[in-house]
Amino acid sequence: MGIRKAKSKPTSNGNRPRNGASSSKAKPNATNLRTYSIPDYRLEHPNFTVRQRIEKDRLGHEHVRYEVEGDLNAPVPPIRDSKYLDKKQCIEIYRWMLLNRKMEVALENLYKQGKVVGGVYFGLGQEACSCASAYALDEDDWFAPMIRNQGSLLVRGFAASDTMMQYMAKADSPTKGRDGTSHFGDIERRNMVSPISMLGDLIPVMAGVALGARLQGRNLAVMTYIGDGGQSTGVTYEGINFAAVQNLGLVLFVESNLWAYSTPSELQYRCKDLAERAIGYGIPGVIVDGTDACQVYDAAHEAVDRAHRGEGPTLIEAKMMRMKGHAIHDAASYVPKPMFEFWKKRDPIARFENYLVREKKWLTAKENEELIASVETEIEAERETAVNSPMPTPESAEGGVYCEDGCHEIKPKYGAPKVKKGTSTFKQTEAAVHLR
Amino acid sequence: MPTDIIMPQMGESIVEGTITKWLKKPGDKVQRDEPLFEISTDKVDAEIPAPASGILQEIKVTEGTTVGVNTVVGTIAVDGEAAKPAAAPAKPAPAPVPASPKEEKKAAPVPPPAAVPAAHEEDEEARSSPLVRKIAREHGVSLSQVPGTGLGGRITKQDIMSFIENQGSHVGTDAFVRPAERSEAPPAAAAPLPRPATPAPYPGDLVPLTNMRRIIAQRMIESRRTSAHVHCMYEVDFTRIVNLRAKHKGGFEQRHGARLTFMPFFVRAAVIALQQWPIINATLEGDNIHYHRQINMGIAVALDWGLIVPVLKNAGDLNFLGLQRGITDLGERARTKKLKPEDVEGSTFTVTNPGQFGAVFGLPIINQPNSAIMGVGGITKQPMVITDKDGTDSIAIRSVVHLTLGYDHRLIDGAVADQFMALVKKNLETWTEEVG
Amino acid sequence: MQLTYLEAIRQGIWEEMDRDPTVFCLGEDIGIYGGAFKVTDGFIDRFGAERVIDTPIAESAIVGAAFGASLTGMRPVAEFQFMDFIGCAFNQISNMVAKTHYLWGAPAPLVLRGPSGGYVHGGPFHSQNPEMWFVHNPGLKVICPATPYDAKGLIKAAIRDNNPCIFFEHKYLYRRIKGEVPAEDYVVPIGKANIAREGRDLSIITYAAMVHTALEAAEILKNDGIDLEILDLRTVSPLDREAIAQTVKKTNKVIILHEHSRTGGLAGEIAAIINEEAFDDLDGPVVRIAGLDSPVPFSPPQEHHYLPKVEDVVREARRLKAY
Repeated sequence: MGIRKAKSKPTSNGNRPRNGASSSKAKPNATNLRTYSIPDYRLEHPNFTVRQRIEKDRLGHEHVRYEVEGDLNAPVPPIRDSKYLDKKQCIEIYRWMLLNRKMEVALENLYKQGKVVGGVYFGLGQEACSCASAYALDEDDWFAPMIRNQGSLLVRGFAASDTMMQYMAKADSPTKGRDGTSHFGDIERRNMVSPISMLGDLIPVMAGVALGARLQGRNLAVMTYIGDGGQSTGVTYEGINFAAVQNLGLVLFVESNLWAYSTPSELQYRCKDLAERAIGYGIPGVIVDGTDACQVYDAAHEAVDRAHRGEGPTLIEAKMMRMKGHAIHDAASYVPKPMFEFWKKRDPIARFENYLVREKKWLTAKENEELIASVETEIEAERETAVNSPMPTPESAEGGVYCEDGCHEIKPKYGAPKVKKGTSTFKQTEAAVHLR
Repeated sequence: MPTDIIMPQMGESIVEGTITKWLKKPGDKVQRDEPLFEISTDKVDAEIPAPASGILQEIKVTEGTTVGVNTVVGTIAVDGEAAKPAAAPAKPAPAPVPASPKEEKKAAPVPPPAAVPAAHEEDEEARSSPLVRKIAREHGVSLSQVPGTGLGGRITKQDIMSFIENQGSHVGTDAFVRPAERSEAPPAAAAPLPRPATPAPYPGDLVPLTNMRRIIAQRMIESRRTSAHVHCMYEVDFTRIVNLRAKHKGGFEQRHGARLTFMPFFVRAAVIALQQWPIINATLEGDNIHYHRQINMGIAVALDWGLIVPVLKNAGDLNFLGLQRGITDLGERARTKKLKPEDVEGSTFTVTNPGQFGAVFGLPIINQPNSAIMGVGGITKQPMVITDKDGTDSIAIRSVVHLTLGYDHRLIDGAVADQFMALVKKNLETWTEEVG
Repeated sequence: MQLTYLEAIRQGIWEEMDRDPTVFCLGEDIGIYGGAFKVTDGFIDRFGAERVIDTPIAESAIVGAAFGASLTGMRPVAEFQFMDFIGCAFNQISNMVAKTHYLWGAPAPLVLRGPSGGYVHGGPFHSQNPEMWFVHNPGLKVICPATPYDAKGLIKAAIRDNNPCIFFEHKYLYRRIKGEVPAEDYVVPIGKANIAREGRDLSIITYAAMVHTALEAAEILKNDGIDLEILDLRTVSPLDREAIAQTVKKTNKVIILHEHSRTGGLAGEIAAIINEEAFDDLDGPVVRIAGLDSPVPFSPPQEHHYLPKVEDVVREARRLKAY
């Protein structure tokens, strides 16, 4: 994990210039046109359109299908060298990505062997975004994953067995069987807020975490994720806007993975890139290739630094493709096959492996094999732990609804807020009544 | 022990799956997570990995067969365990599980119901409440013995408490037994039952009756017992009088120092009709009918502390102004407690005005020893069918009052009462007298 | 000290902010303006803009941010300008805040407060009593005080509580009632009902503005020789089951009175508790008096018709007494 000591003074709300979206010094021209820029760090700019078309089957029955248009044979771009990551850090991220994927393969097998309760959600094709983003956080920073960010949990120090036991509804899972998937959190050590199934609600919550920390004298980065589908919710707007107005250190990854369950992004939003929304919020927005761990890390790193300096939120759009269905039951037959083929060539792990082994030669083939084997051994042990955990007792469904009988001590995590008090004292009011 | 291979649940709503292909034969070696068979479900087709490493021992569900999720479709003899013949020995019956203390607690017998007297089955006849039934159980009382004073003869808490309080202490006096109970009650309970003679031990305040209230109570019951009450009701178009009063109200008060009210109109109309139908102004005395020479008009006056009926003597001799003055004077003196004993004696007919608070009409009790009482309802505006001189019907908004006559059928027949009231109605609807 | 209901709440929050630096307020127009009803009037001068935060008009963000801050050990007090608008934040409250302790063991010590209730001709969007939306959400505490003493003691208890508390202030009472409030620090326990009037003949179980309606009815019924007991629930979730059972065991007849619509209302729940705890002590049916099953209408005669009235209580009490 990248460790930096960013010393900064906390800042409060109010008195800031509007429209921080662009750091460029564009001056209004004669026609008073405004210009904004959205930095785009990608080394290729795939340009596809998905639209609905009526197809006839052999019997002449009509069916509505999606089809994709665009250059699907473009060559695979290289990995962009990171401005900040060194060799060791790159290999660490690569290992997290491997762990992420192998954990999900194990989960798929466990599911098909009937050991998983409910469904399994995958981050296949999104491992670079989950792992490299979380890797950019300091230990004290906070984060909240969405369902596909199972790699982020590993980077932040949770065991693979934690997630596996969640899926298997085991007694030793972080929620002790009460919820599944990545729906768990830890406010004591790993500073993670549990997601809920409703999309967007985490964004204002993370803003609030930053607000609470700021009142205690700390400018923290608070990272969370939202998909191109989830960003359609109203609370997403409310949350980003709140963070923007209050200048809170929100680092929001918009994971544009092209499909929200079965709905293509064309039916979610109209603008060209979701990063453009940042202009409307008055905050910086950037675009990265979500399959390139270095690009993801660099953007996250800069956003985290801004947060630590008290300069407010950043929106990072990471472009990639969800390489499986919404969940395990969904074969994603609605996705045009060429899309899968295009993105399969951009597999984040295969490309990063190639970058480290062949391009940079930071790993020998043998070291790479050993690293993969060590990951498999680790997952195997985690799987054993998870499988051997008992199911919870029925009675353990009871209790814990309220925090009572001293089960938690509430105290400011970063020290008592230093409060300044005005000289005015309590005066009784006979002020206007809103409604008579 | 062999490991079961089960049909997985491929999606939360999926209940069954079809085995499309077995990828191994019995006796083949299999590795854990190695594809073992293929399935097809409503949602997805999938390759299912082996749950354990070993020898595929048995295929229980053949290709093309559809089975429910979690069905065992085959078994694997795990590594180190000799592949046993397909026919597995019957499983031993599960050992009986000792009941946990919690279960024992749940199964604890409920305390037996308190002993009740044999007559309790008849309690179903008596309407009561859960509380009353509980008290009856506790005191061994048969509810069929307890007189009920609540709505619909329901036995209230007070009833049963009084009953228990007095049980055995006052026998044989002031007996009160409902007729039904006489025949139905068992012999032991058939003895006349004491009516509660002392107040119940706790509910309510004890306030002694005022003299007036005691007299009212006696008189009302006496009247009900004495006269055969019958009531008839007449709807009167009161528009003419309402207009007349509105026109003369101001001038009348100026000239005479008395407010012009509606009461003298009713009294005058009644006086004229009483002169026509003297039987209404009569009293039954033993075997004789006493026709009164004078019309002494009782005027019921509501007081904050009760009710009184002062008498306007010789009402037949008074003109309209005299009636109004007399009525006003009696009312004022009633309210200021300045009536003399002779003011409340000698009435021959009574008018009462239940409509002053908005009642449409009332069914008054006869003021003994009168034979009839006229009740005046509220004056309201109503749509009415009016027939003009040419016989044309139309609907008009009219002021309407409902008059009732309560009369003693021992003396007055319905036809007489109706003709009397028809005349009162006509007097009012065609009023021609000067109001002064 | 005689304080209005509003001043009592205002003083309670002020004292808690003075006492505990982790307490802060956020909401719409609560800063320089002091809130639509002036509950936080003067707070920004005393505690500064950092602790008295004017937010965008974004109820989900307000609740979400309050919850996030509570995870760092702060004790936020979020104002809804009107409790009717709490619906805008429903998901955040119901699915995020209420479930957090049960699911992953994170306490959420926050207070959501604001004015609710009718009798002020506020119309369908400024007169609601939406407490039942939250009574059906395990994990939340729902508080509805009726008097200045309770309002101050309960807002302080809510701020100090380690659970999410929703605090419904009755806007009709804000400046219409005054009561004695002690100068020294005190709290009123959450989840404990209070006997607002001792009586023998029948019990009215109620809370918030309806306590005063019941007290008025009690004065009228006294002349009929009917002695009402009035149980002020004060907290509607969790309910004080024991106090409910006790008053039923004492008087044996009970009317449940609340302002919100009848169907699915709190009275149904209380009637069920009475069945469970005190069926054998009933000497008559459990009677409900409640608002109509409609939105709260705007025009005064219509609103009057919608809302429970003193005469409703008098009528039903007489009927039940005679039962």
